Amino acid sequence: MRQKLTVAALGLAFGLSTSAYAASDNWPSYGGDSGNTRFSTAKQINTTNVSKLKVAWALALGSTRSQESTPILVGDMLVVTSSFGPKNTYAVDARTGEMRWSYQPDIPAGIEQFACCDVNNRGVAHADGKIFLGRLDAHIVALDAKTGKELWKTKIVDYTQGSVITSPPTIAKGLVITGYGGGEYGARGSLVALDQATGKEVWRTYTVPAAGEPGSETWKGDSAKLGGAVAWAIGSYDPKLNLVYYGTSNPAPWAAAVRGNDSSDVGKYTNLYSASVLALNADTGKMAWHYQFTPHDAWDYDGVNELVFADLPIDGKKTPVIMQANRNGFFYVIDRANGKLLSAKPFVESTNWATGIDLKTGLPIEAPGNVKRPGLKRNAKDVCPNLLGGKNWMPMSYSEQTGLVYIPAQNLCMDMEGIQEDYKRGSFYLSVNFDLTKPAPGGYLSAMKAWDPVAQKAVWVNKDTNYWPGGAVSTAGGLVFHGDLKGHFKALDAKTGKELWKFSTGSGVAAGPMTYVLDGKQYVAVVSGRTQTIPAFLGPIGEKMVAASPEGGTMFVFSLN
Amino acid sequence: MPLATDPLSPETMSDSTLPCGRTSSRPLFSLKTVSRLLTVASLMTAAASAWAAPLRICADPDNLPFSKSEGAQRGLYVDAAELIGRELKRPVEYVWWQTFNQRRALRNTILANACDAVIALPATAEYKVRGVKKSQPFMELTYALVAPPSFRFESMEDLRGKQVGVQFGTTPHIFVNTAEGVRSTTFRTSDELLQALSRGEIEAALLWGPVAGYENKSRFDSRWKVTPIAGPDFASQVVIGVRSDQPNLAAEIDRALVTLKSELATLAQQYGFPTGPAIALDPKWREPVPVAVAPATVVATAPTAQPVSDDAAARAGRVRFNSQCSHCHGTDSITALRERDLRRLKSRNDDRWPEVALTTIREGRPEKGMPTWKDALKEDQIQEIISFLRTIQK
Repeated sequence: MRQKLTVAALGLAFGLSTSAYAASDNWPSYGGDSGNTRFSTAKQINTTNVSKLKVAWALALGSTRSQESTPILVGDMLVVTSSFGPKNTYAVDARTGEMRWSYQPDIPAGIEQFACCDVNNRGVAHADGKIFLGRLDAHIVALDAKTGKELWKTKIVDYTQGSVITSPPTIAKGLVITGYGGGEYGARGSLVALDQATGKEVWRTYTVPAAGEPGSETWKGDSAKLGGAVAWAIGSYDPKLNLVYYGTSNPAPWAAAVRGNDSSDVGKYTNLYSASVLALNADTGKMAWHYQFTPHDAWDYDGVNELVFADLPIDGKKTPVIMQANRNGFFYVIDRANGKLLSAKPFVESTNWATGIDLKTGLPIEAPGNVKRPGLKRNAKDVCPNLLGGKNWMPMSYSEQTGLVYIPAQNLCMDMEGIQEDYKRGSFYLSVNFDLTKPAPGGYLSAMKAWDPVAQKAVWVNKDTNYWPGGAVSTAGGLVFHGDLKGHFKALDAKTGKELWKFSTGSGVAAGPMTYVLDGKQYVAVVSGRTQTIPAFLGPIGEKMVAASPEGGTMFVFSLN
Repeated sequence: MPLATDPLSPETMSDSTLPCGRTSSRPLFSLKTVSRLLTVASLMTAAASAWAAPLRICADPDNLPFSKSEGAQRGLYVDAAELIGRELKRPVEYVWWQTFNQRRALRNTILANACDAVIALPATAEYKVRGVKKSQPFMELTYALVAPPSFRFESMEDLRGKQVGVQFGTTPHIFVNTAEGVRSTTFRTSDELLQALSRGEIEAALLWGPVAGYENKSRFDSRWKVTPIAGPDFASQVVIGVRSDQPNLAAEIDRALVTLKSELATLAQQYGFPTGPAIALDPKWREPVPVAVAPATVVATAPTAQPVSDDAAARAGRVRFNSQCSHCHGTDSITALRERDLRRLKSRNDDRWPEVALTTIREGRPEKGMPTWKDALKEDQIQEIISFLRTIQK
């Protein structure tokens, strides 16, 4: 509505942060709001008329690899990034797609070798008239939102240790907060807060304790020094509690025997704070609480998936929670004020590395006899989910209208041995003894699941015979939008999952879509461009993935007229 | 297979092939025809060698000591490629591609027909690439212990109680962190590791042998002793990968590799690759050695009494066996390869077996790859090994 636009514009003019937690028909940050709900109150496009949705305009992204970006609305501009750097950041008129400005940084040559898993980028953040983005060379950059001019640039960490940045930073008051990658290369994780105005570092909180610090006793020998536990994905921020939430990755090295008991008899070697969610005080970076999803991880079950806010009735009381669909196949509901585990159930039914999560201790009940735990010279077979997870980075959405969480879920198992043959110069061969393509019961490789987070069960499931599903957005118009590997972008009835509209974008869609209202008109936007690196891990399934659609890089924006 | 640096491996030097066009000594044609034929033949030869299709080798442009696209030192694989080109009488061209993502490197080079062969790939049978045929193994690469010459390293026992540096994510990293009694410090890069050794922060470093040897030679004035480490986890052989649609080339390269065996060994030495007897790091080394027990099948009426010190000798022999012999015969000689399974010595040789073992250890079996040990091991050390072998006969 015009009124809302004026308020937003005023907000920009006076430097007020426009990313409040409350859902709106605006889209000021990656996840729609600072709680990453990906829910929009916009209802102009709804179940009765979505079948008439058509392309309003499109924007090529200037790179054709693994597009993962969710654009954000800044005033009357959409700001979107491409992969590879980001090679291009474009700010375009959100009504017409007309170019306002673009940003093309110099990305060092050969950066691919430091990006374990792809040279992707998931978008930008905005606050105080500035656009903030993270680069593969592990810098955070601030751009003038009006002109795209670079205002400051801060190095977070040395990217040659394998630490590229692929996610937008998190806005919290006057700070911009980021993590980085490198868990596979033994980087030591940290979260870093910079002053929005100057780019100066305000605090840095390591995710792995140094020798002598509390928590360091959870690592064997000196393994904490290069312990991984990086926070490479998306953060959430609760302005009332003043807490920033990030998930951390797997511990390093893969060989668990180096950092602990290499068995489900974990003992003290839990490897904190890997595979955990951390709640940090936004002003100081001090850890308020943590919860570890996968102690002494041996499966590469990163705990980095987005932490989505909701107010759920728990024991009759409305409780502010975070919800996460973890790589390890469990859906966690945690009190976001104090970190108390409220419930945890498998959202992918084939999950078998653990039979459940003990609510009293918070610990997983692992399959007995280490039969599903890879270890040194111990090959665990048919472990579900595989290391790509029951859900990967592709984002889920929580609809306050239906009360359901829409999860892009995956369903494959793996054989894995707990040792990674290292890269040796002259015999170029980095092998990990795993097969990620073991079939899982259920008859599907991926699915869009509508999940009741209170009852902890699926309400409806749309199965797909392809892997690598697209992220979701849900709206007050009663719709869920998401893409798939073939490049279809679909609108579903949020209550039933029935497909109401579909558009073929021509290249796989994994990125999270978004929606916004401008001048009284609602638009839906999504970026299309198939993943390039994931198929390489998946043998014949990967070949199917490559055949499913060409690579691409285009943002499509839809409206009713 | 013996190490490339094994001085006892048979050296074969094949004669260089004669150029085509050489006639026999008995003229079959008139002199005029012969000379015309010769002219035509030599023109053809000249033409043939002038347009001999270049041998395209894919390699990593920045991977010393193995390969480098520019600079004075081109790396061992580049030098080896030149030797192979010389044997095959083909000029060598290089297709450079970084190899940190080996699948992508192969896909974009040899599998895209951009090159004919890639140096080098792992020899292990588990490693297969569709469309690429592997040559015979031409070199064994191992991890190595780098330490001041005064550091005693004759078996893994010598690492107990020492501060040993390892590189993150390598096999030794796992080994020392799962072995009792070794104090280890972890470093991210080999450079950090060697700098720490330089400063005396660690007493020894375990890292990839070719890198260790090359750095020792080129940047650290060969101040350290670099000892190769043997064993299935620490040593691996490499092969040349040839496109499957070029079986002739694969055969030619195999022949060339045999011819070049000693030159390749010399190259390895020039680049500082670790040489000398390898020490085996047995992952089970930290287990207590069991008291030598005569197996149930031993005939109690054997006329010769067991020596009083047999237990101690067997213990020492086991340690030495697992240090020097296990990389071919398996730890405690547990191996699936029957011909190397020394637990079968008695069933094959009856009561003569200690004699057979003694002779074989002393003299070796060069044609089968068993080295001669009489110069490397003292007589009582060989006897200790036999005492150990006594305890494992089936």
